[in-house]
Amino acid sequence: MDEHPIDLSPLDPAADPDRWERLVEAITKAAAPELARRAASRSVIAVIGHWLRPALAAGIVLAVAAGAALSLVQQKPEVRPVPMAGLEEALELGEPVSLWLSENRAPTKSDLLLALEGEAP
Amino acid sequence: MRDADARLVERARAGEASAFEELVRRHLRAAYAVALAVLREPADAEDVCQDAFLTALERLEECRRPDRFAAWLLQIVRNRALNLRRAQTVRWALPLEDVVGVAGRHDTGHQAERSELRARLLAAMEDLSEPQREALLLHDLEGWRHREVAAHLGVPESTARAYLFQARRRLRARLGAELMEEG
Repeated sequence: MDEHPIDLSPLDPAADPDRWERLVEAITKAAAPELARRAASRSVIAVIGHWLRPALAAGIVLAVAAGAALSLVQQKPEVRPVPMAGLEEALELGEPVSLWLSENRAPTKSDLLLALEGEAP
Repeated sequence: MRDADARLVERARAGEASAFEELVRRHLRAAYAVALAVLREPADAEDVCQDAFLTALERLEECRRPDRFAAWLLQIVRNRALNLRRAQTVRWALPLEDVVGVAGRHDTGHQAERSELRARLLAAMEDLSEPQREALLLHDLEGWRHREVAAHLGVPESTARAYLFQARRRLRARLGAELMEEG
C-alpha cells in the first residue's frame, strides 16, 4: 500500500489566514439573522417559563376556591317530610278514614261499617 | 469531541452566536475538503461551505444526533456541492480563461507559485473518482483516520484504504509525468 501522504498543503484553505478568517466571518455574519431569531424565540419561551410556576400556583388556588364554592352552591336543600295531614282535612274525611290513611292500611269490615254508620250509640 | 459538538449544537439551537462560530471553526476545514472533492474549485467550495452551514443552522432541529453533527453537516455539504456541480454544467462550457480569468492576474511571487501548485493538484485530481478525492483530501489534508473516512463515505475501512491508495498512486503518476515533461 502507498502509505506516504501527499503534500496537499497548497490546497489548505487555512494557509491564507486572512482569507480563512474572512470566510468564517462571512458565514457567521450570514447566520446572524437566524441566530437572532432563535435567541428571540428562546427568550419568549424563557419568559413563559419564568412566569409558569407562579401562574400555575395561582391557578391551583383558584381551582380549589372555585371547587369549594361550587360544592357549596350545589348542596341539596334539606328534604322536609310533607305532612300527610291536610289531605284528609281537605277531603273532609271523618275519623276512621283518616286513621286508615295515616296507618297506610286497607280498612277492615268493622272499619267500613263504622265509617258508613257512624259511631255505635 | 462529540460531546462538545452536542453541547455546541444545543447552544446554537438557542441562538448563541459564539457556539455556532465554534461549530464553524471546528468543521469548516472538513466541509471544505468534501466540497472541494466534489467541485475541484476552491472558490466554489467556499461558497458551498457557507451555504451548507446556513442550511445546517436553519435545520438544526433535524439533527437528531447532535453528537454526530459533523457527519450530518458533511452530508449537507456533499449534497449542496453536487447540486452546484449540476448547475454549473453550462458554466463549464465557457472558455477556461473566462472562468478562471481575473483572479490569477493579481497573484505575485509566492502567492502565484502557490496558486500554480494548487492548480496542478486540482487538475491532477480530475483523474480521480469522487470517493477517491474525498478519501485523499480528508486523510491527507484534514488528517482524518481511515476509520473516520470510511464512516463518512459509508464504506468498509478496507475500501476507504483502497480509495486512498489508488488516489495517491494516480496523483503521483500524473504529477510525476508533468514534472518529467517540464524537465
